Amino acid sequence: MQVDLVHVTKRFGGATAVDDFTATLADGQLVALLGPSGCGKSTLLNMLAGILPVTSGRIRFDKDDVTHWPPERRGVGLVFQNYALYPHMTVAQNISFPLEIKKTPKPEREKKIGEIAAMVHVEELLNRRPDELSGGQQQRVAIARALVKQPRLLLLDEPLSNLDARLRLEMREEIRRVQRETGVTTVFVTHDQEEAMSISDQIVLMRDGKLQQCDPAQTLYHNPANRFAAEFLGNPPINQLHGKASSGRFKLSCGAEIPLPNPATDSGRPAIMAVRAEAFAIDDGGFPCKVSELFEIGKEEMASLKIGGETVRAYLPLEGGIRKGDTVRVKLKPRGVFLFDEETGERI
Amino acid sequence: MSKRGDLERQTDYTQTSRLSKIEPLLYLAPFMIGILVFTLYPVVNVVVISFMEDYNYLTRAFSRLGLGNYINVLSNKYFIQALSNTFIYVLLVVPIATVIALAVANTLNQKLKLAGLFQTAYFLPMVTSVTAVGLAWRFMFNERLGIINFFLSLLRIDPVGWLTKAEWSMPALVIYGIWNILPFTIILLLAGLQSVNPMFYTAARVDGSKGLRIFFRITVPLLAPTIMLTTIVNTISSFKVFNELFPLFKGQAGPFYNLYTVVYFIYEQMAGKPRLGRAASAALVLFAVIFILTMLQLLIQRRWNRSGRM
Ligand SMILES: Nc1ncnc2c1ncn2[C@@H]1O[C@H](COP(=O)(O)OP(=O)(O)OP(=O)(O)O)[C@@H](O)[C@H]1O
Ligand SMILES: [Mg+2]
Repeated sequence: MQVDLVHVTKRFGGATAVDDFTATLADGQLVALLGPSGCGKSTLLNMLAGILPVTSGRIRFDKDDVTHWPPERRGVGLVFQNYALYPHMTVAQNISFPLEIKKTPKPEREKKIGEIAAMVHVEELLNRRPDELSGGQQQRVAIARALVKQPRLLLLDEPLSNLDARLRLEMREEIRRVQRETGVTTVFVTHDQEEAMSISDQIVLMRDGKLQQCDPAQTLYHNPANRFAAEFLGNPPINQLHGKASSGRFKLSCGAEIPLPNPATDSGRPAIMAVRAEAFAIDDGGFPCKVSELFEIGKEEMASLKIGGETVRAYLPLEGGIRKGDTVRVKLKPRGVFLFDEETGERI
Repeated sequence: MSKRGDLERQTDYTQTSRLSKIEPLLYLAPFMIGILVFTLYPVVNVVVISFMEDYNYLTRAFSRLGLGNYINVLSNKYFIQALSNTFIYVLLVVPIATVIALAVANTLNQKLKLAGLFQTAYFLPMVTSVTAVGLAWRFMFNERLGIINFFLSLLRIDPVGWLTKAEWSMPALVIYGIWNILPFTIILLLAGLQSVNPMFYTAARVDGSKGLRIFFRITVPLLAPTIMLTTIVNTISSFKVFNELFPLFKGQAGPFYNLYTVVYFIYEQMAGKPRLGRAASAALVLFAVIFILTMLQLLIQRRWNRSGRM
């Protein structure tokens, strides 16, 4: 099912939680809704579920305008951040609940519960109560309950945030697998950029209730639309240098100059050059900088380099034999270097 | 469990001097003495007296120890009537009050605009004296002038002799009894409702249900422990129905002495020539009934909890 959000706005009193949001979520895709805490992700998700009414704008599921449909009519599956399993029901009863409401006959109900329980690997737990389950198990049950009624849309609100690091990785794969198996259009809310990059077909990046960019993870990483997108994705965080670009060189505020990989760009106005750590390469024709710190990470080395008064982080190959205190010559690769307007944050 | 274990272990390590062992006892002493003198001693006394036949409380003389008082009480037709009246009263008052309180509490919890009005309404019985309110009810139940019959007349129902006809006196008592325990029940249920996380309602709506189904499938089960608590407390207090009789029937047990309750029976044993032994054994029979019923309720609750597990 394709989901269309058209100029969707949500205000709480005077505060705008979601601001003129327009995006299309393609059928069968897993979309990560990514953004910092408080940017309106849950609000947007709840509007998709019908829990919160929109202030203005329209929501369409395929051809249906569902803007004013109540949640019970929308046929979405929702996995809450803390799962919200009914504490007085067993796992089987929890999963069965949406089917009972649809008046599915009992034999069919039992067959479906069996199937879905097998899919999320909770067959052994059907007679347990939620308080007798671990966080990961609760999450699987919550997914089973959301999926069993074959929703048109599956919504997950930070489902992994209660889990420990290892389980989080595992469950991430599980969600991806189950989503592929069922082919249900899925919106996955997270504030973890790495989670969003690894799980999704498409990332919807939000900030202060506004859409920043809607693209596949790789596009978002290699072609950020604005400074916020460049900042938010990637580990270590992207390096940012203030200055001005002119005639093929970037002049830092501290006086140093760096040759640009794409000499054509000219900022004129104060700009920010953002450089990913992997965009540095040792090159005898490059500009000199001092290695102020070295950290070994796998087959590469992370170095802190001093360029004039600024410090940047860069990945350098280990075999270079570089030591702390050396001066090395580096150049910038064209991939992973972006210029943004300092004032507006827009890409130049 | 493990937490409690940790605490115990901690106290094991703390060195307690002799003084600090006695000190808490000193703090407790006034309270404990009070309990001993005013609660424990009379209770033990009642048990002992209930076995003393022909006990005279002035001379403290009795003919012999035995079950005479119990046999006497259990074969007394007024006591049997009192017991049956009390059971009927409890079986009507407690379930009806619980259902009404549940409906009211649920309405209040949904933050209706009327909340302010409701609040006054449900606190009123708590701050007014039982007897004064009872008198007010006597006026409301009045056959010719009462407001209840006035409303019934609007529905073209003939005046009902609430307080003067034998067959209407029990309903009148039950209505008054329900009204008396409603505030307490509503407040407890409301507190219970407010501790239910609203996300369960949201989850149920997303799962496709609404309205009454959410109420019966989600709200009531999550509230079950609180409902059980109010039921037990209300059952115990309703078994002791006695005060309610006075304002309604001018101190009589119903218009034709047809509304004997167990506590009224006990009270009456002390009027005229006091029959302390009989009163004591009747009290202990009541105690046994309440005790057994409470145990039964707890048992049912446990069964109920487990049955949810299939
Ligand atoms: N019921 C409400 N009343 C008023 N303001 C609200 C309400 N719900 C959310 N907000 C505000 O709307 C903004 C967006 O909230 P939202 O819960 O959607 O953030 P989020 O992106 O899900 O954050 P998080 O990652 O912390 O869950 C916040 O500023 C929040 O304070
Ligand atoms: Mg949120």
